[in-house]
Parts: sequence; structure tokens; C-alpha cells
Amino acid sequence: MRALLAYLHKCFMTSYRYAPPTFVYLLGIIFVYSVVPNPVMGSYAFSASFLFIVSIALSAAVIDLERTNQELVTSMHAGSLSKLNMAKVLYSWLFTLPLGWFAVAYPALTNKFDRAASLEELLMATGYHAAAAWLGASIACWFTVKLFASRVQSLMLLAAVIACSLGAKGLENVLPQGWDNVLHVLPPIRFSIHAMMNYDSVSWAMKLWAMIAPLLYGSVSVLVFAIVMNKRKLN
Amino acid sequence: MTELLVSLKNVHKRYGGSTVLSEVNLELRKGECLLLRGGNGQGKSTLLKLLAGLIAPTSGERIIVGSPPPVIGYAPDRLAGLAMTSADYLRHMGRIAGIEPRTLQPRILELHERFRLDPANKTNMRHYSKGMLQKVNMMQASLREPDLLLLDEPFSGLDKASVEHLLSSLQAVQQIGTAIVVAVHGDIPAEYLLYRTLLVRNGELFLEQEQEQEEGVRAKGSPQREVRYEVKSKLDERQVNRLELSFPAVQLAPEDDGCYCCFIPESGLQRFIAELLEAGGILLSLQRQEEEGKQ
Repeated sequence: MRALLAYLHKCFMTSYRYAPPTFVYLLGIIFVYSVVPNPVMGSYAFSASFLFIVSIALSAAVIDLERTNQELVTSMHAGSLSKLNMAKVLYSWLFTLPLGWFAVAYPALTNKFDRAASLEELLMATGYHAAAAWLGASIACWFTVKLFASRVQSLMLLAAVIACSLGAKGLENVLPQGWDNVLHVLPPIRFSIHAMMNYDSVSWAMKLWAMIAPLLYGSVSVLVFAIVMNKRKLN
Repeated sequence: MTELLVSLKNVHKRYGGSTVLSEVNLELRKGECLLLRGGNGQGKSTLLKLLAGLIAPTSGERIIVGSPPPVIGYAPDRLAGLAMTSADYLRHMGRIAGIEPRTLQPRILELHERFRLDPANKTNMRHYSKGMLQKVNMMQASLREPDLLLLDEPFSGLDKASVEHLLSSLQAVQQIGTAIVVAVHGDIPAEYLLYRTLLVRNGELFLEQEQEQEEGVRAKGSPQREVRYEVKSKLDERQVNRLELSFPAVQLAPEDDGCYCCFIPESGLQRFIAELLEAGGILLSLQRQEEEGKQ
């Protein structure tokens, strides 16, 4: 796995595909905090949601990083296509982790909050960012061009999933009774946002669930994706 | 009978509504060489991917024999040039394949020497010619000393000297027991390679020929008489391109009067003439030549 990660890193760095989402995120964070003061966990709720979107963009770039023939060659050497795809999702997540650390550390170190953030808040925010990044990376793998007839189609559907995931709370209010069960299949980023927005009032169980749910959802999503791709192979 | 490596049983492959391969039954044994001939879109590449296990059959079975399973090397029809040197690329592929670092480095140097590329060359693969990329492609497929080597259009982009060199390399790997499957458009001038040819047409396989090696003559070291034909023809650019694509090892030399001249080994003459006439070329002359061959 380490060899695959090293190879993907080399390819990704030389492709420069990481540049647009990374710079948009870093500059976006700097821009948002140009206005002070800001609430601690409310601000982290924004940067974690933003990272969720950026990790989707980065993961989508990594999943389709190789040309078809090279992907055939890499999966032959790796032993299976599943292993290669798992490595791609893992690499996407690892790549976004430093972005999350930046989003947590930058406002805290440059006094952009209305008060000093506690150690607990910093650690929990780091966890929420990592969970949001994992969720984003694990969802994006499904929207590879290999599973869709066209790139436009996959991007449109991906945009819809992002919008529904972020706006799930609002959807819950407008959906007819019984239909709100549909929300359970959506990526649970709403739990993290809700926990961070209401950090002082929610229970510890809710705070932890808001971190575990995206990690769990993401892991199941990656596992199912690996099984589907293994069955489908490189058709 | 030699050891069985891979077999396909009643394999069908469909993409959407179209059938690419139908009722394919194939057995590959240690040390054998199989030439898959056929035009574009006939199913050659799909068959190679099925043998490699890269795609799944729609119906039928792919059976891998042996424990541990045979090592399969696969070279697609073309390799995309990545932003790294050939040595770096092979190092990455070797590590991914799980080759020990202490055996990987000498192997990379050995392959560079075999395929006549400089391992110290710092040029990025993005700037490699088609032929150089094809060599790197062959090198990555040979990294783990495969039991089965699957090559999709390996002669594409190679000059005559490289084609001959590749053929002699294939002969060497066949002799150590590696099974080889080569997908090509046309014929290959592989007089010294023992192979059978399957014609892939509309997704079906047909046995075309079995070429026997003249073992006795060469084993005794007595000279072998090589027969070749000098073919003069009148061709336009499109026809030249078509012939070069189908017969990558044949060099069509333009002459002053606008005609083309080339030399064809006896084994490939019939197919070359048929392709030339089918392409609309005009055959001007055909001359038989005999000369002392290799020992």
C-alpha cells in the first residue's frame, strides 16, 4: 500500500491537479477570517463543510488521475483493481488532512476568534475536519467516469449529492412525512455541522456520533465501492 | 504435454448490446507463443485483458492453474508518458508489485540494457518517442519475470532494428519457459520463434497456422538458406501507411521513380501481397532471393 501511495503522490504532484482545489481552500479560509472576530465552533463548522466539498474535488481528481492503459498496468502490478482504488481514496484523504490542520490552526494562532479556543475544541475540530475529508473522499470515488456514461452526468449528480448532504436539515422540513427516511442514505455531514454549530448545547454522545457517523459512512462506502469495482473490473 | 497456465472456457464478452468475443476456448501452456492476428475492433485487446484478468467475461470461465498462480506481465498497446524517468517509473511499478529493493535495482538495469535504453537518462517519459515508450512498456511487463507475457501491439512505433531486437528477446524468454501472447494487426517476421497463430475475426478465434522451428538444421550449426522476396510496388501515401501499420517490421523504401521497394521473408509473402492488393496498390515486380542465413 505504501508503494501505491508513493506512486500516486508522485503522479498527483506532477499533474498539478491538486492546485485549484487546494488554493481555493487555503485562500478561502484566509479570506473568510479576514473579518474578525468569529465564533470558534461555528467557524469550524464552515471550514469543515468547505473541506468536505474540497476533498470531493481532490478525490475525484485522484480517482481519474491515470489514463486507462496506465491504470491497467498499475492494477496488474498491484494485484487487484480494488487495492488500487482503496489506495486512491486513502491518498485523497491523507492529502486533505494537512488542509484540515491548517483550517483549525490558522484562526487559532492568528487570533481570529472572539475568544481563545480551548484544547478540547481544537482536538474535536481536528477530528471533525478529518471525518468530513474522509466522507468527501469516499463519496467522490463513486462519481468516477468509469461508472458513468459521461463526465458531465457524473459531475451533475455529484453536485446534487453535495447540495442535498449540506442542505439535509432544510430538506427534512420540506419533504412529506415518510419521505424523510430518504435522508438516511445521504452522506451524514449534517451531523457534524449540527454538532459544531450547537457545540455547547449538544450532548457528548451527539458530539462523538457527529464524528463517528461520517467515518463509518465513508468506510462502508469505500468497501462497497471496492466490491463493485472488483466485480465490474475495468470494463 | 507442458504445464497449463491459463484457460478460457466458453467465454463470451459483450459491451452493451454488442458482442466482442463469442465462445472463446483457449488454453495457454508454459513456453508456448501465440500470435493473435486481426484488424481493429476484432477483439484482440479484449481477449488479452480477459487473459490478464483485467476484465471479467460476460459468461464463461477464466481458469488460472497453479499454486502460486502464474505471474502475468501485461503490456497495453501504448503507454502514456508520465512525468518521471523510465528508471523511476520501473522502480514505482516494481515496488507496487512487491519486488524486493535489492533485486529490483539490478533488474531495472538489466531491462534497460536488454531494451537498449540508458538507465541514467534524466529525460522525463513525457518527452519520450513512441518507440521509447513502447520499450518502457515492455520493460514494465517483464519486471517480475512473468510466466505469461501478454503483449498488445508490441511492435507499434518500433524501428526495424528494435523489432528484430524485441523478437530475439521474445525468443530468449520463450526458451526459459515463458508463455507469450502477442496481438498484432499483421504478420511478424519471426522465423525463429515457435508460435501458433490465431485469427481473431468478429470476436471468434480461428486457427491460422503453426510455424515449426527448423531445429535440426540450426542445432547442427549447418548454414540455413534464407529465402526472401524483393517486392516492387506502386503505392500512394495512404497505402504505405496501411502496409506499415500491418507489417511494422517491413521497411518500405521509396525509389526515384515514385515506387516502393521492400524485402519480405517467404513466410509472410502471401499475406503481404494480399494486403498490398487489397489496399489498392499495384504490384510491379517480385524477385526471389536466397542467401546464407543465421546459424
